[in-house]
Amino acid sequence: MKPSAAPFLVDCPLHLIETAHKLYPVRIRVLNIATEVAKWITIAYVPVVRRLQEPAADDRGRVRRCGVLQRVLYAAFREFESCSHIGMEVQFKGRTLTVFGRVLCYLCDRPEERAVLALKAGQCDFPCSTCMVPLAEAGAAVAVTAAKRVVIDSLAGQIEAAEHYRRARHRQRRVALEAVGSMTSFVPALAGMAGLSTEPLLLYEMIGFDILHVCSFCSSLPWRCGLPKSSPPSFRWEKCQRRWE
Amino acid sequence: MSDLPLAEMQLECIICGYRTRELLFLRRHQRAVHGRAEGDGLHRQRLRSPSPMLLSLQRAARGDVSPAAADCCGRHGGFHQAGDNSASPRPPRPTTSPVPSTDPPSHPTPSRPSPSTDPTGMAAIATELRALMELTRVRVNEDTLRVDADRAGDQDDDAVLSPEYAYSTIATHVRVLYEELKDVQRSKPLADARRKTPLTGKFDSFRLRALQRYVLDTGGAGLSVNEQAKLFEFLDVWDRTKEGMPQDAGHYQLLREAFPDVGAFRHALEDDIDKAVNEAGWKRVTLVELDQPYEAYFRSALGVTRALLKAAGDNVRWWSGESGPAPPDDRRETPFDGDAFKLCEREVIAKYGENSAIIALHVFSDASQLSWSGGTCPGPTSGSGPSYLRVVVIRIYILLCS
Repeated sequence: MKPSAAPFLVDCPLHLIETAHKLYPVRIRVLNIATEVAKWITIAYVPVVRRLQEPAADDRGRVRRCGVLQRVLYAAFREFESCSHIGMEVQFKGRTLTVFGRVLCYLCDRPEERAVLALKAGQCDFPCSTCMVPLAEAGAAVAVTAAKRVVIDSLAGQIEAAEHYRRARHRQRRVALEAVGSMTSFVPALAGMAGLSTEPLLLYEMIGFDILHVCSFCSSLPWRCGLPKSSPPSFRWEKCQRRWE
Repeated sequence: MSDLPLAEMQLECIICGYRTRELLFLRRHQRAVHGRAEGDGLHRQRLRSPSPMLLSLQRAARGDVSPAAADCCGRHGGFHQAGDNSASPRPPRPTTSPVPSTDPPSHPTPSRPSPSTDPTGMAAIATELRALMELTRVRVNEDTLRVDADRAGDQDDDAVLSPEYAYSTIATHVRVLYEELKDVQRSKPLADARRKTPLTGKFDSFRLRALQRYVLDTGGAGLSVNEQAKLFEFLDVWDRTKEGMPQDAGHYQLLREAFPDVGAFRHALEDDIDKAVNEAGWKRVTLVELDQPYEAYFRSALGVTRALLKAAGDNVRWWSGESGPAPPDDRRETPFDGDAFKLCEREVIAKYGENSAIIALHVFSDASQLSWSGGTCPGPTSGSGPSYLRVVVIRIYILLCS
């Protein structure tokens, strides 16, 4: 008797994992498959990085968190990124199609959005992930006309900063690069995907907030943070960010 | 032996009730019939009528609180208790002192339960409670109540309709308060019978009782209804009675023949699970960041996508239109209508021709563990939301088939 386990149905090898409560999953959904109910399949478990008792624990924890997340994402999407560039052939109704993988949406909450895009979180100069509005102008009318983030430019700076960080050199240059767009010295792993770092350059457009985490952001979160609803949006944003951190 | 007192100058044998007028005859009778002399024959004369309180208690214990009986009681003792209905007029009493009740009993007077009709003793307890209530209560003067109600401004016109009583102890009063709610009297058996003649006692053999125990004990609370149905289907297969099931070499094989003990059974399951997990492409890796090791688990998104596409068969949509890209419009009903999909699709087709398409992915990560934002609700985009992911549940779906 041979066990035939449908590979995609084996959701989680948690019986092998002793510290399962220190993991959180990454799941995907293939839009092309028409199903009535969205079917999410787990493809990775990211270890939760906690703050340790050490000098500069917050900064080091943030660096670790970002590094671990990006590395796990790359491990899971490595082949899919190749597929997004060179495609793979599938048979469909007598036709041979070349299909290319694309990530259209990444559902997460605000802190993870910054982590996935390898941007600084919390109290930074450019808190918006899609545009370059400064913190001082966030929530103001001029923020509507703020310049969009340019994927190519941002990634170029991040790649250079990552190289400096990896080789432990040019620290000042790295810090300056980080400050340009409130970026970190990591490169988003998903930036290797076609369509995100190539045309149509949707890297900074792919984040979709999970309603679970942000539905109450504009209404109840300031209240939960102890802030009056009448406080200006930028002030609320800043305070909420601080609470989140 | 009657309870009536004997007439004057009459003696009675205490053993058998033989009556005579001479003590000599009584002794002769006792020695001749019973072989011993006992009593002096006057015990019935020494019986006294019980006190009115005792009589009332006995009456209440029997459930007999009729006015006639109470009247009789009142004649004997000249004593008024709550619940009795003496017709004799009473002089007015001071308003501050409680007066005995003149109301008829509000409760029905069931007959005294016999052991055969009351095996649980609940009726006896109810009788005891009723006796306790009706005999120890004293009605509070209604004039006092009325004055108090006037002072309160007649706010509770329909609140107090039944007379108020004072009780000898607080404990009794407490019990009366709750007894008057009649919660216990209104209660019904917990389980509604599924049908008029329920099919009880069908698990009437050792094997069936073991099965019943398993169904009721598994997981602490037993199996759910769906799980019971699945178990029945499994047992149907196991008994080789399922229609259309294939026959193979192990059709008549016993469990013990395949797995000699529980350890072998467990290990075989574990090994199959391990194999299935590896076949599913799961891998582990230790990532070192700033000298700290972290163990991560992953599998190829492309492999998962391939498996899903293969399983879906022709139930796959490759383009935003029927057989190619759809023209731009304002529809936003499905992800295929979104700008992101159409932009990517346009780029790919422009570069690789009409026989090309995109595999679109949505990625979701349960970031609450990362951000500690504490969300607990299921996600809006999936029936199997992320909340349960935080609860570490081993969810391994393995299809074992021959």
